[in-house]
Amino acid sequence: MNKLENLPEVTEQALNGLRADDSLKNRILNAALREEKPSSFSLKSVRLVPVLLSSVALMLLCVFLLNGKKPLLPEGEKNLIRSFSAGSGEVVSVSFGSFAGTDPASVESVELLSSGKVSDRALIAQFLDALKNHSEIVPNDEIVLNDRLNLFDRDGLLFSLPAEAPYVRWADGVRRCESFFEMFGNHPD
Amino acid sequence: MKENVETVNQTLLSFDDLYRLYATDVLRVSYYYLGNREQAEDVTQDVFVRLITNRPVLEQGREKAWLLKVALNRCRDIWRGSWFKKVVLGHPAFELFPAPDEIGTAADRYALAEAVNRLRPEFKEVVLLFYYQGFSVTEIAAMLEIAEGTVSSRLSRARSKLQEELKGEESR
Repeated sequence: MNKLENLPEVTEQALNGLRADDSLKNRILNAALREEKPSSFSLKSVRLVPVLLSSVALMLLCVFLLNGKKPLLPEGEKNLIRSFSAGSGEVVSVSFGSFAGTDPASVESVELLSSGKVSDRALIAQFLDALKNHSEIVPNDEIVLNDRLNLFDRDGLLFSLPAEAPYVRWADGVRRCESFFEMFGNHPD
Repeated sequence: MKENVETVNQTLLSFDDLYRLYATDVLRVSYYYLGNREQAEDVTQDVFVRLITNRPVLEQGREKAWLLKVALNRCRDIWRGSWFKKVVLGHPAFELFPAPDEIGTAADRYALAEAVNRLRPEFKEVVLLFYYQGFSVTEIAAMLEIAEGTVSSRLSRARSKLQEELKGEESR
């Protein structure tokens, strides 16, 4: 019984009482909901500067909409637990909201299949900034995307998106990200 | 929109499926690693919360490898962060959780599990992935991002260490 080959059997006996049960599952689902829930509104949190900044942002948004253009950022994702599902055997675009929430420090490399991979942390931060803050939805949905933009964190592939310079397809549509592709082209690893 | 790209076969399993199939493995591997039930549950929670909130691209058939890889990364973080507890308070006792009808069976049946728990983390990882979870040397090398030769040598050293430990137990 002491042979390593017996480890699965020994573990099954020795740790039989240690199981991931429904209470742990509920704990996980609650924790996931807490992480996704925006913090609750409190009068204490109201400060003059944030209010002013929000007003300015709102005004800018109105101006933007009145000009007939779409805002840069779509609505945030809703109810992730319910929407987490299988997929169709092919990588589909992740929503821009989900990508925008990605912590640059957690991304270890950015890859364009056609051009190679970049692992320099400072560059990655610039790339993500370009993708998040200097991209805009383009109306043309007929753009053919033959390349792929992959983001990796320490646990492996994080996002895999259809791309073709200067476009990337997110769930909210095709975005033009000229500065990203320009920077990527100039800084291969 | 027509795409002519190499695609990744994404998992067809839902959160419920993944939890049902692999959560106990994640919990037990974490417990082997940390020797602490609460921490092992915390790790399992972190892994699955991450699965829900980040929705990483998981390849079909590689779901378990991803879950265990994330769990081991988290275990390593906790292990490194618990210097004070390890050094000042000592290694946590590896408590066994047998099924009720198994309680009272010969203690030597569990000597192996306890000996595995006492291995150094880098040896414990490869032993658990190879002997307990049934991954190949190549798969383990990819998961831990180390060379295949390193996996093999760690397995060999772990085997020797366990042999010594278990002989010692028998002679006591």
